[in-house]
Amino acid sequence: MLAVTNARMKNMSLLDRTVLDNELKSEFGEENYELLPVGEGFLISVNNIEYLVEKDGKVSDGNKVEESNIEYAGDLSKGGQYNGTTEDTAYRITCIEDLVTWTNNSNTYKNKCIKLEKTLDFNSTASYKNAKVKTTDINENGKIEELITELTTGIGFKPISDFSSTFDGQNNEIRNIYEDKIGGAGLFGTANSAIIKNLGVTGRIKTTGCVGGIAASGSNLQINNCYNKATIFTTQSGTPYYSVGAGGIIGYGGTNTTLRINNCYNFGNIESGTASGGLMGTCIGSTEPEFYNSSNLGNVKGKYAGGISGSSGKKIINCYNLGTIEGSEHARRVKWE
Amino acid sequence: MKAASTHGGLNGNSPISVKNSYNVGIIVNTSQEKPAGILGYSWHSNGLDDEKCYCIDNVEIILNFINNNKIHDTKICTQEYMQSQEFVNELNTYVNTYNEEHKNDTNFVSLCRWKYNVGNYPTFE
Repeated sequence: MLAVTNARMKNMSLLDRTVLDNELKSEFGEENYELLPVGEGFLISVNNIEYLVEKDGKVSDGNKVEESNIEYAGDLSKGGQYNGTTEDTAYRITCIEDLVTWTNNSNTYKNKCIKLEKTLDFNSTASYKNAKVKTTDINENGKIEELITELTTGIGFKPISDFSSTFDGQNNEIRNIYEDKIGGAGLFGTANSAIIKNLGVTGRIKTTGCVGGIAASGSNLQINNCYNKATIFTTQSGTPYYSVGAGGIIGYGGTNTTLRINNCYNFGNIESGTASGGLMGTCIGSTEPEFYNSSNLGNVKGKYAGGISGSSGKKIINCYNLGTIEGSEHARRVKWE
Repeated sequence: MKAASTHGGLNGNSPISVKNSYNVGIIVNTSQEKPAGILGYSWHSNGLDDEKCYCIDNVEIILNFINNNKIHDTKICTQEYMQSQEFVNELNTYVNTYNEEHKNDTNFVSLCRWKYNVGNYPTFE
């Protein structure tokens, strides 16, 4: 067994894949390491320890990867134990492949109860049934690469759309979600007449449209006991404040509906050229968003910007903001006598 | 002639009612108007009912508003006060009253109690 230390990893030339590959080969031998493009950097596995190398050459501490105890990809991928008709019989998500199956078959699972059985990390092979399988060009870069690479580069993960049931994260996290796309972005693209609860999200989400750490948009939606640590960004600007937004929890609340956010937190930085809020970007005027027992600790920047809501809302009760709020130029100037 | 900002500690621009909430985040203003500790710009033809809102004394005004907005016990506070047990007690007084008065409401959401953090701002218990 090779005694790999983090210090040794950090001495390597990390910015060039070819150089890095040669150094790893020389150091550990060709059979004893794996190098996978992940996000804007690389994932190096040596002796069941994974090191994430960022694009600036920064190397994470080694993360011991336990042998996968995923006997089978969960119900969504393989079918099996549950039928998703109630919360008790909710489909179980146990690996990243289940999330991919869900998003590829959103209509099938639209009205099914679903639970997240464990924390899943897009950047860790331990969260996959088989991170190295090559199937389709998910990230739309013209190449078929390993699944972990497909989901963390290019356009990355495709949001789950049209969810209309109950999702329970069971106090687990979706870590290192990565999206860089056109249109609505978030773990969920749209969630209508739904309940989403007990979930944390980390990573980076960038889009040209509405964006939220939990959901890009939603209506008649309850989000309880969730938090966002992902960096949220939309290139949108110049659109009306009530049509596009960026929020830590949800980007945009739909028309003529209720939206209740309770006991939610945002730690991620939020930025847009339109409405940005720590919890919600914006909603159309007829929607009645309510925020209870929630807070923002991230920095929020937008044309319209607020610690809880960027624009529009009905109630903010028992909430607080600790983050920096930066408002840019006006979309419109409001004047009165 | 007055002008309103559209960025605020809790809300940027909306007809929203804010209760028992606080902001201590820095508000950076790149527009010509004043930022607001609580609401950037609030508008509603029927008026709003904002009460028990607090912001730290690093902003010039608490909220911009027009029409019939009502403000009750909304104020700018010092850091010392907002990190005190007294402030926590004030927040929890509202929580107790609200929970008692609304417990039979449809879709009632129970408000969380606040806790005192030595040398820091209140968080939820």
